[in-house]
Amino acid sequence: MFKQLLITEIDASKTFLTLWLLAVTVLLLFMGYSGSELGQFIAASTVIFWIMLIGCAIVSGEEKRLRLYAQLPVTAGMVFAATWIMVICWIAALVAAWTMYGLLFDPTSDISAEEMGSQAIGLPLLLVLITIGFDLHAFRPAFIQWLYLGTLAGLLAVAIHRDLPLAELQQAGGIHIYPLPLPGGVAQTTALSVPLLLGLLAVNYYIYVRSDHYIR
Amino acid sequence: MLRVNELRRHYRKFDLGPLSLKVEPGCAMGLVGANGAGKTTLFRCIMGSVRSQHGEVWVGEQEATAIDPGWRQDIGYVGDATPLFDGWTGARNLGALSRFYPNWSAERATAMAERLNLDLTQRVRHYSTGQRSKLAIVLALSHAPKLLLLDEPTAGLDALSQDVFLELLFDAMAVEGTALLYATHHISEIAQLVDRLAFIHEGRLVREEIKEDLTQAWRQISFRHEGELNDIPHVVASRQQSPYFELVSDDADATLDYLRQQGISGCESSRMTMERIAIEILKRSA
Repeated sequence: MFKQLLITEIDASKTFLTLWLLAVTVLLLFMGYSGSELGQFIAASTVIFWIMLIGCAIVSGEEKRLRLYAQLPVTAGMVFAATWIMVICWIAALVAAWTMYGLLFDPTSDISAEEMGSQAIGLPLLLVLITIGFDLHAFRPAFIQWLYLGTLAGLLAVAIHRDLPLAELQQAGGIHIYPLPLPGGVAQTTALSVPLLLGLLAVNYYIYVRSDHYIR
Repeated sequence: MLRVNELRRHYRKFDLGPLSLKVEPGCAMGLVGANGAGKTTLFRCIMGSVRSQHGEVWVGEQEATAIDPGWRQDIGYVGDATPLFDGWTGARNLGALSRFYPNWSAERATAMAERLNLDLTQRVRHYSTGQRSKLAIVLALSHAPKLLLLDEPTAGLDALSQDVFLELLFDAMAVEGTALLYATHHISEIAQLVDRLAFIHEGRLVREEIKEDLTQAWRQISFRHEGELNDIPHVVASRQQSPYFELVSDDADATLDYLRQQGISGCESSRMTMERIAIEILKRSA
């Protein structure tokens, strides 16, 4: 049933995925021919990534879709996996665009592949942090969710207040990982963020399959 | 076909259960209760879309667990508001969801949509409430389920479509031997369809009866009598405007025997509608 679920998921986000690819391509050509640096392209494309992803979640009716899946012969684990595979597809397209931009328009850029990878890991990291916040909705008392989201927003505000632009790639102290900058260089940051991402995904899965948002 | 054992779900202001019920293969059970009685919560607990905190649900020989959701292939479910892909046409919704059911028949789906006069080329977001209900009905019935869970399925349906829907249910029961659990607070719509009736009040099953037994036993009895009459057995409601008495009895034979013993003759006993019986049962539960 996982295959059927994945096909349905692809089907459901096909329009947005096409729009996303189109937007990135237009941005790539526009910025590339206007001489922008790779870092600028990464920043701009990341912003579009968030807009498209949020738009897709709203328009395709995320909650409704989950309620529909709750009636089908699929497990919550399958839905969770299919959802994240789609997110990986979105991010893969983004990273491919960054790589292509680097190769075509800014081959002398000092942004390394590791740095781009680290930046790419930052996207699902923030996404999973937000998703956990939404999935906590099913748990009582309700203040847990608000406390969590409030803390997340607070951390984000601190990061911005400390002049750490969210879309900026390189920081003095290392790569910027959403929502907070992590200390050290690229290698340390990546080494820290990968297990952090896996751990957060595990937490999200735990919450997701035990929650009541119309699926168990 | 469906066994629910000691199911419980606690909310801050509402408790469902402990609740047990059984629907045999090929049987139709009506679930009757007022708004907020727990019908929808029960359905969601059965479907696993809301976690129960205690008890178990069996669909056929398979326990309805989250780990192996294969049992959902045997179920057709029409909820209070069936979620659909709003941006897709009815046909595209049917096509996408057919993937999940090996027994799905596209011909059956199309035929049912035609009988219900449902335009499958329109986007679901442009559907009226009734049209959405029709699509949900087609979705629920197109894979020849062994069990139908219907939670207020006729919401927004016109009288003609309701009639067609009942025909479809009769067909499913006759041809496929489908069992069904049908929740409604409009008992008249299921009076002809169901064999058994379960009454739910404040999250608990307060009574479960064979429909024929209810219609046989429950009667409205009227007679003329001078003087007072107290403690008449099995009377659930009474109205007295001396010398006329009007009683509702849940065991008319026993009540009439008692009245005869009291020397009262000329009692008129009349059948009650299922709707009336249900109201009296729910009133007593409250």
